[in-house]
Amino acid sequence: MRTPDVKALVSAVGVLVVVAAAALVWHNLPTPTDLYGPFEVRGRAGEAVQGRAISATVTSVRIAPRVNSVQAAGNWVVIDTTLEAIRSTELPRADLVAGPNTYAASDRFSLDTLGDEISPGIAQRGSWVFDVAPALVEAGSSAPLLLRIWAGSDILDSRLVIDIPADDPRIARTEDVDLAERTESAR
Amino acid sequence: MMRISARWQRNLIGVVVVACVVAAYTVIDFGPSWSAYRNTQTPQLVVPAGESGTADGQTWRLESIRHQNRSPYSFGPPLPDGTVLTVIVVDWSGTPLPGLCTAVLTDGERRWDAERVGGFSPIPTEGMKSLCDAPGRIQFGFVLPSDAVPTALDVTHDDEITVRLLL
Repeated sequence: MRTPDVKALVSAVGVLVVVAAAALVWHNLPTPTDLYGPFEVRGRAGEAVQGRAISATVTSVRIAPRVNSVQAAGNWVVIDTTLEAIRSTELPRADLVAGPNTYAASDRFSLDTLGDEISPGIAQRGSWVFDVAPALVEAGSSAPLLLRIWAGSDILDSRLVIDIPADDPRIARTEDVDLAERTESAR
Repeated sequence: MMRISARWQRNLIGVVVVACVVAAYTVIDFGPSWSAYRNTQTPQLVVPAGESGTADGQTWRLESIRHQNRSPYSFGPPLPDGTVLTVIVVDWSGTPLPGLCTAVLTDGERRWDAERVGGFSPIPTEGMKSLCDAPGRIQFGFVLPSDAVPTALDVTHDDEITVRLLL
């Protein structure tokens, strides 16, 4: 009877382990959003939340069917925010996560709303406006709102994620909101 | 003295060859991007205050700098509270450079982009222009917090700092 070739056996097992490990890695590769996605900086409404490029404070939230007498498809969510750039002039962007949905900021009132460039040392106060499905923001809804703000492209950069709980006292519900003009001032 | 076996000699040569190939690939593939990034951090030319500087056939000189605490226009919004408008004129001679040209004012820590068309920059006078797409006398306007002390003006092309003019 032949004795088993131990060296060959070890080689075969080694190859099997390497191939199995490669297959495991191949089926668990990170997605592009894992590789290039933003770094979230979390905070809550009412507090200053600061990332690499910008700082933001949500001061109040107003929910209404009309803004400046313009009817929403759903309900308008107006989020009053103070923004400031940290080190260089930046172009802020925002979206709103409400329940399972993500909403881009409306450009219906773009002359008055946030979204223009911000500069270091000069605070910009204004509002983001979102048109949101009524069921997600009606009184008694438990879905929290998440305002996400970033500068330019959020690839491999920080993104502010500001939690606005459904029962936050800063949330007010009215029939019509008059948007205030965007203002700037140095601290 | 211990001798390396022929097999390990071959392995060593293989490792060195692979390392060289990987290094060459890295330099060729990432070199231009790294260089472009470095140029966004380090100026290609630094011109001391009150002097002119030349590099690659381009000559740069900071002609004037002035500060004003009100908008140059009788219409439109006033300057934001607590800010000043800094207007800088740069004299550039030479040939046009490729890329999107703009200017950034810095205090060493913070950086402010030049006002865009329609911003607070005054309307340029005769012989002066507000865009740095080509050589000439170019006027840049910046809105800064009144307590900011700028130290240098960077002229950039595609975000790469072409010249740093110290104030």
